[in-house]
Amino acid sequence: MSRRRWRITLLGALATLAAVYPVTSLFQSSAWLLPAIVMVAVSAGIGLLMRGLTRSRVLVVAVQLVVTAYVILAQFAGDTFFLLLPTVSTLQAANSYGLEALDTLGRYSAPAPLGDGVTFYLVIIVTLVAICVDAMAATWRSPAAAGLPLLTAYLVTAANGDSALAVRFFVVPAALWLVMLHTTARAQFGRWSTTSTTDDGGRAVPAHDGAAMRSFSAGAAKLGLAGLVLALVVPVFVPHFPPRYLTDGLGRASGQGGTDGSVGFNNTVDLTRSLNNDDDSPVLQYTTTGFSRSPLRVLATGYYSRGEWLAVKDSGDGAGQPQPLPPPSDRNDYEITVTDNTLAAPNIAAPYPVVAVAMNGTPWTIDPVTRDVRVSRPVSSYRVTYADIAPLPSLLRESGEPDSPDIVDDDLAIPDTVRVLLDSWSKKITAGKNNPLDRAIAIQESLRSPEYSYNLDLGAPLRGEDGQILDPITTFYKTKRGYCVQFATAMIMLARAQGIPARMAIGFLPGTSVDGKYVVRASDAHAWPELYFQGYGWLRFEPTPGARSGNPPPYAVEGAGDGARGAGRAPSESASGTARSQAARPSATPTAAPVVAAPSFTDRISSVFSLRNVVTALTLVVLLLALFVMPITAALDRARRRRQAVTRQDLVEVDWNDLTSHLRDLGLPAPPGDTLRQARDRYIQSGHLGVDNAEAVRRVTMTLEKARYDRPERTSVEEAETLHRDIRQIRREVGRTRAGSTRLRSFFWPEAGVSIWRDLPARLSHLVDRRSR
Amino acid sequence: MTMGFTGITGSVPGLDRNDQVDRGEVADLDLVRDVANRLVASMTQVIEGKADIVRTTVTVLFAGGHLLIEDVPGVGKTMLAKALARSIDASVRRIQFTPDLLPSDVTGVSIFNQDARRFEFRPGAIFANVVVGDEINRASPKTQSALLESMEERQVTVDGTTYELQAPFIVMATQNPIEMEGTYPLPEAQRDRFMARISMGYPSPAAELELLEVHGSRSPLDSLRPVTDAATINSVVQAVMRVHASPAIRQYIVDLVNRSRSTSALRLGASPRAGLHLLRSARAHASLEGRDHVIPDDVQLLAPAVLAHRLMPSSETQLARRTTTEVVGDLLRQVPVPPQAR
Repeated sequence: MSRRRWRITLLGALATLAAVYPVTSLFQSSAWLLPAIVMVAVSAGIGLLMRGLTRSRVLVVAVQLVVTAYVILAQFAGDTFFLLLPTVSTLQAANSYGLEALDTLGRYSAPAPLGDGVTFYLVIIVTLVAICVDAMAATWRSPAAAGLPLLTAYLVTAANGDSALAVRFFVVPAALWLVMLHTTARAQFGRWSTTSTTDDGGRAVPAHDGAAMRSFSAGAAKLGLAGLVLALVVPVFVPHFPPRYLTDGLGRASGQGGTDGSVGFNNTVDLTRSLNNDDDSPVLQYTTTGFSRSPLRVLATGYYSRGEWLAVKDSGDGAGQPQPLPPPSDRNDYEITVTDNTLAAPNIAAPYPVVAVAMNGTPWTIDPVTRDVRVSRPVSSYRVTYADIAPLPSLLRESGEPDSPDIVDDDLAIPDTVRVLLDSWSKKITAGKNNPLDRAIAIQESLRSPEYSYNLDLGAPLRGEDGQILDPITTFYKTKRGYCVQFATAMIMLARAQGIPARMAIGFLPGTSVDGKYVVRASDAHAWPELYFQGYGWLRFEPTPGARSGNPPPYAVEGAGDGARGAGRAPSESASGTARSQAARPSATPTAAPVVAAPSFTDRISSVFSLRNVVTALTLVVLLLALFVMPITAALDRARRRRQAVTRQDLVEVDWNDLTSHLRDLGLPAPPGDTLRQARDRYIQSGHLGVDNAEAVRRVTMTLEKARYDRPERTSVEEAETLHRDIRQIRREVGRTRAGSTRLRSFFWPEAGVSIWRDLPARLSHLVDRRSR
Repeated sequence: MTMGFTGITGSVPGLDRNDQVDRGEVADLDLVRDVANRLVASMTQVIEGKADIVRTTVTVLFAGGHLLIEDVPGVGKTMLAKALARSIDASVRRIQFTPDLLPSDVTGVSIFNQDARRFEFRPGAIFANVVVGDEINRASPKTQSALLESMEERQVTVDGTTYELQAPFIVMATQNPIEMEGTYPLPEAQRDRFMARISMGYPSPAAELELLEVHGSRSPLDSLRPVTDAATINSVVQAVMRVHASPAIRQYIVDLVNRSRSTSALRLGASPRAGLHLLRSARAHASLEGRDHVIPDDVQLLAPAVLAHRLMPSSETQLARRTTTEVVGDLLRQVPVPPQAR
């Protein structure tokens, strides 16, 4: 194996990618993967290049670090560069990325949203792992050690994921690592001398290297396989512990008593507490026909009393039928099919609002006010049709005063103890907002702002001036931290203070996708507020910050309803061809389209040429150039020497030199001590040249010999021409007889180019010496 | 680099000035080849199965150098020398070197002539076109140096009078390996005077069988008739001088010689004279091949014979039991053949 060790480098890069790939499960988006792949490729490529050029291992790693750091900085903070060099503001940008990443990691649990900061540091970490693996496996030739960074990278995911990682996430990098071990072991055995000293024949010195190698690699393979099997089998028999998160998940949020200044939810104890022992066990599985996944609601209540939300057994007058939903033209109906349901009766989980229920014969009722579906005995599977009501914000803004049987008195009740606080708090938040939707959005955004932090630990209960423990709402106002229940409660109370009917919904997050099904686990339990808008019913809001709780519904996004967003939404929804989206188009496009069209084109052009894109493109160009740097160098050098050639003989020499160096790249070396005739015989013999080419080689060497050693005037122009033609023919024909990989290497790694780079330091220092003298 | 050679030419005594006369003139290659073929054919009658040895002998003769034949006794060293001598119609003298041989036996002596009442010079054995010095390392150093001086100077000075030696003048000395008993090894300064050293080596079984058949009855030397004469050899030597040696070749020789001085395998490298001898023998070899220009292959072919006997191995080389011939082989592999692209 050559000093560059391209095989082990490739394996190392692949193993790195395989080891970090599971990180995709920690984040909502996989956008970090592409830059990470690019950086792994860059570090591996530089490793290859530098190992070919220098023997200094430290230099290899140093160049890898510097170049990758530059590329990453250019990629993420290229707009702070001055004259293509990082500046102080680049460091500031990196710092702000770091703060952002820390913020994200501290606030969210997996899967977290993928901000620029997180991407930045994720790519840095992946690059460092890649450089470590490359340095250990290829530069220092000890792939066994490279297992450590690989394992570290893998463990980061394993320790932070919200579920057990699939087996393949472990098997693939482990297998690649074993292949690396095997490759290096084989290469090292290949280098062992056959004349190794043996003190006596009785010692277990293998008689033959081949046999030794086979026994060694067979032993190593067995060991590795045993380790792998152990790693996979042992966990099956060892009791599981629920995963521990770096930042605790949302799952353990609900179900705590309403003491200690926290908000509790009493009636759902049977729902959450019974499942609390094993956080990760699935509650149910489902498939849905809907495009966007809504949370699955179990129940809703508007009754809040002394820090606890209490489910009302049978709200309203029990007359049975809920209020009609908006007409089908204003909503999209989807169907959800739930299987393996383990939720205790009488509750079942389904997205709100329920349109129809198919229960396989099990009797069920629907609460006329909250639309909670109740069953008399547990059902393992059922089908529910539900509506997706996503009214346009513009229409919501114009909704009238809330007046509906769906609203009960509890939905506007505010505890007396906090009325004053809520009045001033909500006024401050909603200042300048003149309709219920904008106020609701303002409240939600205020709670989602970085001012409030998601934390399962509520801290020690606060006490008022009188020494009494403060009520939960005041506590939350002061500590500004909590989990979904606190956030939802706060939003509900603030909305009620603004005259918007609001109630608490308890249920599950949409869960995680496994093999085409969604699995909802106990840890997905969630609480969120529902606010009432006349004509549209109860609408979900999402004040809890955090990736798993998801983004707010489209109508509840800040700035919602400005024409562009409405128009932007319409096409995505129009796939279902609903009347609503058709109705949306005329309102948004007629005025906006002509005006927007022209600037949007130039915008697009200028956005294409934005600095980041330019930096990316430049990086790509530089990478391409780096790929072709050796052939280009060789070609430039050849052209230079051709220009410098004075006599015809010089030209002939350049051609010949080109040929010998090309043949050397193709595996036909000619020692420097070879005369032309010896080189000729060598080429003809080991190059397996055909009759024509052998004749061409003879002509070339004879002409060249005459040009070199006979009287100069005897070499004719015609002979020089023939020589040039013959040399080209030999080049072509010999190349054809070689393996594709050899030809590829001779193209990308020509000695003529490499030697120039290899000698560059020496020549530079020589130049400096001459200057300084 | 050409300057290096002209400079050396002036500083080394006794060098043939004709070394410089090759510009623009074309060597008479037909004559050279003709004479060479006839000589080789003649000598091959006696020396069987040693074509390369015969060829090297002729090369050295054409290059105007002297030949040292070194080998164990009885492999035909003297036979080779005699075969060449018999093939040329010229004066031939043979000196059997013994420990009691005196310098005057070689160079000649002035004897008082009673009749003429004056000293008359009686030429020694050296006064001939071909001198065969048998077992040269059996003579005392004093006698050896008497011979070697005249070899280099191509003249003999006795009692203040200088006597020119006739051209062509070739000394073919044989010697036993220096480890053998009763030998006075030639000092390196004197070995340097020989253009080339060759070893006969044992004949092949087939050749040895034939040797027993043919030589058993009569000496094959008896049947040899001269195939050329001294004057022809002189003109051949002149023709060889005109063989073209390009700057690249001269550079190559300088590189080789310089490398032999810097390599750690040698205690003593090649002298400037060694380089000159190498060039001259390469010219002769090129002309034997029918070429009027030297190519590196000529140099490489002759380098072991021309260089090896002048070099002194370092102690490491001796410990490794490597000969200087092997070291020369290494040099040839290491030194790039010019012109090498930079």
